[in-house]
Amino acid sequence: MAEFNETDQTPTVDPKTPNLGDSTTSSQPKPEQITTIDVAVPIPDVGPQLQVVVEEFILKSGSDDEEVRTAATNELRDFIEHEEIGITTLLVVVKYAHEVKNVDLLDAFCERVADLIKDKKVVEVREIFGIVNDFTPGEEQALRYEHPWAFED
Amino acid sequence: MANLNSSNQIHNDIPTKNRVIIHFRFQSRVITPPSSIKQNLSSNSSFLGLDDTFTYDIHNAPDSDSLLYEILSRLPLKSVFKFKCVSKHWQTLISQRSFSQFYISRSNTASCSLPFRILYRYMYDRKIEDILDRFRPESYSSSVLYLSRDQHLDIKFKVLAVSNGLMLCWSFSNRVYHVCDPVTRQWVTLGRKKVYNYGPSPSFNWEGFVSRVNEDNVVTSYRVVRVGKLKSPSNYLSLDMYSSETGEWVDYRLPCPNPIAFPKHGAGPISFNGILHWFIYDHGMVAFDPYKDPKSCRLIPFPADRDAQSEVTHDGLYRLCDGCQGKLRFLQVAPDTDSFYCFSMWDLKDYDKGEWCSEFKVTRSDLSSSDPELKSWLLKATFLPLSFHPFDLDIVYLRCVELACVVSYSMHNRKLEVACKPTGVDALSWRVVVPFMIPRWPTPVPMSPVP
Repeated sequence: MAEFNETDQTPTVDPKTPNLGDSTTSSQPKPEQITTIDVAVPIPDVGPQLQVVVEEFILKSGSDDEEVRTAATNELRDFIEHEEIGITTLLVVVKYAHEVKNVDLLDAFCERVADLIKDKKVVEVREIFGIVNDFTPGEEQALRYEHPWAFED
Repeated sequence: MANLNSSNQIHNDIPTKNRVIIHFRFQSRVITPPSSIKQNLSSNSSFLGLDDTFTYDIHNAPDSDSLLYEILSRLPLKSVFKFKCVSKHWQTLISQRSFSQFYISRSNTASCSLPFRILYRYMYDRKIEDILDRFRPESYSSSVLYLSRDQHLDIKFKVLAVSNGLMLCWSFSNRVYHVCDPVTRQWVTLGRKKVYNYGPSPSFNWEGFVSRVNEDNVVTSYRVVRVGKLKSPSNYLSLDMYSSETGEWVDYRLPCPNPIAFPKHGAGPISFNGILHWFIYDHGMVAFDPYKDPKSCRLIPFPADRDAQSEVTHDGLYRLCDGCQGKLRFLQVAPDTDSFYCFSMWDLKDYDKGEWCSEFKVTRSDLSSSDPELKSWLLKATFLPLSFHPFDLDIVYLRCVELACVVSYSMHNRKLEVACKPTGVDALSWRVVVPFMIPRWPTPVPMSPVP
């Protein structure tokens, strides 16, 4: 599944130059080495199907062609909606996308999470995110009174 | 090459065509995620939450708040405020000014539709609540002109003005003013005026509306100012003013340097830099700052080289005077097709001296359009100015009478384009519309003491 992307001919670091993994780089933090990858992108385990989809998306999101990127985004959105990927899994990818700073991936997954939680009750949202309620009943009630329009159906 | 580390050794064995070079649009490196993420995956889903109890990374990692920003900013506003109740952390985060700014800027860029409308002032419905329902986010059609009109209902409301997210409305049936937040649909009714102190009461109208905001962009107070109708030119301007801080109407009678009279229709006012300007018959504007003490008024003449006659003949219908992005501009449209210049615009360069500067004058033959029908009418159509674009200094909206459509005029390339074709409204002019930025965040209505 590896593709050689022509437009990536001139990356910021030429992968063919040897990684001077001797004295000059030994003091540098390893996790940030520029990597050419011949193995799967290190996405956390989200299930094989989704992993493949996310990997492919990441590849395409690096494309210079806007049409390719837009098509990839639409495909990704359709996939996660159609497969009804659960919020927990979505959040794993959100976190990953945030760390690798892939804006399009982050956008697609955050939108989906937002879409799934927007109509949920406050207690349900707490459960999903593993949040303990630290309001007293009085405090929570006061908040509800402050924004009654937000609690209308 | 000596000293190649093992990873490069492997890479050199792979045929070039099988290498994958990962590029991100904004970053050209792969930053491998901390290895600890792998060990948590098989564990309980509650470990994958993004709040204080999330154990994935450092407790309260800076990451988790920015992730929450990304998710919360994609929620509809109602959900955002509902989720303030989730936890104190979420409440604090949502209440931060940086969050509201992030949310608003995302709303404005993310939505592909227009962030503003030209609102037709008259709305027909039974109650103010129903009027405010029409400002739900889903109610805005894609048309530039927001026309909300049920002809079979005769209970009428008029949107008088908008200031810092608050809307001032008049109820014709109850004869009261409402100040509303279209986002939360919260509204208050202004107290009625008790007594007029200067003799027989003139009729007060032509309401102006200004408000003050604090550094968090929350409206702290507002004032509604009306002028008293004058039967004949007078050296005194009668005003009354409602202040949200007192909940009361106060009368003023201010001396004017020259006698003033108001036109029968279209006296305005417009609000510019927090100062209200009413159009006075024939020669210009009278300006009043509701927040300045001692109270005074000032006359500002219109550009001297405008077509003053047309103003009088057509009751100011062919001119548009309003502020945009800190500039006060005067656009005049020639009523006749044989006038040399069709559009003329001035800018009030020196507000204090009242000095206008001519921005441009265009003839009909200078105009163009990509719409064939409009193009064929350019030399002979009647254009009436409607409104400047709320924030784009290059655009002004006009009505093309013969084609019954709203057109946009782009000043830099002198192009007219059809913006929309509204139906069910006649007599569309600047007087019956108000430019309206669609609010993206609630504006609590300041409460007034009950006098």
